[in-house]
Amino acid sequence: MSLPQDIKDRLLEHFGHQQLPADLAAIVESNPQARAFWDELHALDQALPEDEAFCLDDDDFADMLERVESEIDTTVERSHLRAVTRPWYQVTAVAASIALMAVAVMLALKVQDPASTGMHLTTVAVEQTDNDSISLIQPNESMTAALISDYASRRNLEASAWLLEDLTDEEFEYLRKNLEVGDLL
Amino acid sequence: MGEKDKMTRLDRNITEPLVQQAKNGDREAFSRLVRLMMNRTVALTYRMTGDREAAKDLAQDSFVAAWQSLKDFREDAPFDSWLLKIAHNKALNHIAAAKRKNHAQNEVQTRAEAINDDNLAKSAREKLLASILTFVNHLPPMQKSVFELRYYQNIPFAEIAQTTGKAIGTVKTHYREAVAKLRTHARQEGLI
Repeated sequence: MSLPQDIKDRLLEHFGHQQLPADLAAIVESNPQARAFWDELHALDQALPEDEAFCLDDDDFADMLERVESEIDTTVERSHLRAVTRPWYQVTAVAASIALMAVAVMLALKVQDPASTGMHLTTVAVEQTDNDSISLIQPNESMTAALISDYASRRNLEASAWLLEDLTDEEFEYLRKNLEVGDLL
Repeated sequence: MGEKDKMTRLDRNITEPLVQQAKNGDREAFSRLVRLMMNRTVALTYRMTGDREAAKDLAQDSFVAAWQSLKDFREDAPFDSWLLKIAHNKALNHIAAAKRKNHAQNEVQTRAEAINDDNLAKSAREKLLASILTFVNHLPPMQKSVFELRYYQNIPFAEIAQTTGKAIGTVKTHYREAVAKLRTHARQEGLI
């Protein structure tokens, strides 16, 4: 009568390490086939090379340790470098994003309220008369210059002077016509 | 059975503080963990690949990978089990890559022959090592992995199941089959 497979399986699972559980140990003690099978596994365990056979000698161990340390040093240096350079990229990217968003918002507001651009100019160019009616002031050359200067300074252009200086007569005339308050309203 | 020297598991009372310190960037603490695990890791990769130089490279890669991903280590498993899982996966990848290049069989054969040649003047025990190494290397990958982790690394079946992502019953089956094949091989070789 051969050893039942489930007993064999349990013995195989215990190969190499643990003491057998009490019930299995009792079977091994009482059943000669189980005893023979377990003894054979024990012999195999003893025949297998010990783990130390695969271990490093002292020189190899020291060499390996140095290699690992060196590789980790390189890794740490790389991560430090990333830590230093990352904020520069991040700040630039964030700044660019904010600038783009600001431009987009300004453009959107401008589209929604076309008169907003001219609001300040209009305020300048409107005069309240004695009889409570509002009349529009026809812009003259100095007023046009003032308006351009105002427009430029509000947008941090700081270029009103040279802007006007460089204008040809034709360009100046065009601006004067287009800065006419009536058109802006 | 069981009185033979095998790699003992690391005491978690020792490793856990070191892991915590290493997680906070303490290189010396990690270096101590490396020293504690060096031989076990190299032994694992050596037995799995059959190539001592590749084993050292893989062990080195495993330690570096462990350092890099230490912050992700949740400590629900012991450190040694976690590190050996990394080494085990690297060894499997190495074997798979070697097979893809169609060199695996030749490489193992060449390595075994080299060991055998080297051992001509050495003891019978070293020849036995070479024979067993060659045989274990020819086991199917999962059987080889489970045998390595259970027999040599002394890792419980439940932890191996967690490590390999297999059911515990499947892991036990792989172990039984590996031991049964090894027993048959040893009998054929007259070793037992």
